[in-house]
Amino acid sequence: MATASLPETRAEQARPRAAAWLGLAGGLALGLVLLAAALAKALDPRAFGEELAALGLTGPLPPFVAALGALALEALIGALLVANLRRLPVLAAASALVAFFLFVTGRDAWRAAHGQVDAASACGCFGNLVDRTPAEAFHQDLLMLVPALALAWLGRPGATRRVRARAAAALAAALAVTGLAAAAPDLPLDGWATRLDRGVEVASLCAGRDAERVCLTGIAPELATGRRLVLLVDISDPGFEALARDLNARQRAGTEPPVTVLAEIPPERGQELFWTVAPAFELHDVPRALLRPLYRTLPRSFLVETGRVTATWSGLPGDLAVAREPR
Amino acid sequence: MTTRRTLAAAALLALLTALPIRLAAQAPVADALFKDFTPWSEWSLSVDGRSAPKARIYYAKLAQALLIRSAEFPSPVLVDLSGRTVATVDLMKVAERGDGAVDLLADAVLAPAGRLSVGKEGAAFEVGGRRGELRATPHLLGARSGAEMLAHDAYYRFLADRFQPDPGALERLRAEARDVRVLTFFGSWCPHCRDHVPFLLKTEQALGRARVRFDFYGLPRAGMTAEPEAAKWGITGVPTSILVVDGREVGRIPNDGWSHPEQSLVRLLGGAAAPASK
Repeated sequence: MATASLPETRAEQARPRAAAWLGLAGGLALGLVLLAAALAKALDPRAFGEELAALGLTGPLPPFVAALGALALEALIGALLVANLRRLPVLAAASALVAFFLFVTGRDAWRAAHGQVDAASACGCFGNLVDRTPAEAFHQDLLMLVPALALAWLGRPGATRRVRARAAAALAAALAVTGLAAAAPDLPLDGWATRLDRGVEVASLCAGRDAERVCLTGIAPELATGRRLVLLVDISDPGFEALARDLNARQRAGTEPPVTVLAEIPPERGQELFWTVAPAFELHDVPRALLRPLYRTLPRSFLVETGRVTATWSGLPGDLAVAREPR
Repeated sequence: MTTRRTLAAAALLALLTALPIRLAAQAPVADALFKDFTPWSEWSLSVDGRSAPKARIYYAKLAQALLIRSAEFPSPVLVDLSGRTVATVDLMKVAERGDGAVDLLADAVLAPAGRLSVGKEGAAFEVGGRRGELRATPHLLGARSGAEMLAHDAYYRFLADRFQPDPGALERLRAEARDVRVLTFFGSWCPHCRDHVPFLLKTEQALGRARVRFDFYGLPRAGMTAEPEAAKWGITGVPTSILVVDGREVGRIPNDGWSHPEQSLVRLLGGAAAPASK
């Protein structure tokens, strides 16, 4: 009897070990995804705050503060999973986070399938310029997050040794991500956090796909050739009209390089600007999906020479003469 | 005698050759600032409360000025947007160019006529005791023919006239024996339509009596996607041009294919069109 029961005992012993390894792998995968996502968003917390505000998730908090809180939470859960601290509260929080992501992408997919797509463009000319459809986003999230999450529930509770040290390390990682996010707006991270950097071909700056794909050179063809100073601005900024007057004077004086201004411009505002500013410079409405990935804060500027970005500035170049050292 | 004839012929030839050069040298010189006025249809004129649909309005971006030619005023009116002033100018000092653009001549004298009052919805001025108002041109909505669109919008006409479709692509489209329909949704309020739809209108004109049929449909900005016709075709943005062959959609002109829509149509039909520059 004893010899007959031995193989069962080994199997019984192997099962928890396999479950623990699978759980560790699932937790590690999910944790790394969450950490990487938090880190990417931490480079531009204002953009993340705008997304949260658009989803109505900021509550009474300013979007930036809400973004910091959300990033801290996401990074902490990710770091705890990487540290293999797969306790019930951690996995419950991770499950809630994944469920929330799926809810958001699933809702967008449902809306798109039922024709409730928001126009992404300020002028409303372009449709919803997306690089992946809401349905694709939902399916990718489903495939990437759910299996890892399901595995992470196996072989709980994960590590039983040096728990305090692991928790402290996870907390430190979360604090580091949050600290980075808090400091990011003042750090020279534009090149990392945006699609606009030295050496980039302007023609490669596009949004949308298939027939709806829109590229910057399609909207502002003058950027494909010659040398131009390009300003990304917020036309609702109180200082815009004064800036526009300076640009008009510069343009009429024939100052080199000529200026192109890119902004989101609702048609009624465009008509208003015609009378109040009468732009003598090139002013183009650019859909948000194309413009937003190019900056963290407005204004931002860059120099284009024969279709390639040769310099970028956070803000405006000093006296607009392209004399200041770019960063 | 022969030598004399030869000399006379040579002298005549030299004279004829020199004449155009001389005429070109005497061609009127455009003003350094008030030049390159292009037809502009974003704004419509009314005078003393009555619409003036025959008025021709031009805009010069660099000069920040509008030029208005209307029988309602004794002289062309120059509206300086930067200074917010209005002046009249002698009609003889307005030179219309072959491409439809307009220049003021260098010796044009601007006679001050008053101030321009600007509001959020437009602007108003007074010239010779008559009140002119510039208001946004109403949008063109619903099913429209290409001719209607060209008649409605002077800027569309201006761009269409300047556009040169690729002859190879036109030839390919003319050879099309199937029932081909190009259905284009546009917004007359949309700057991107303003810049590109005229190329398609020129393509339609250039094709003449070919079997390819062009239909246009103007959408409002608010509730664009909810318009029944737009919803039927799944329109999410404008301009959207749908190619329908034998009653079946075969494709749409991509957003980056509007610089030469005739080539995009050929590509959608499954043929190759030689690239051509604008």
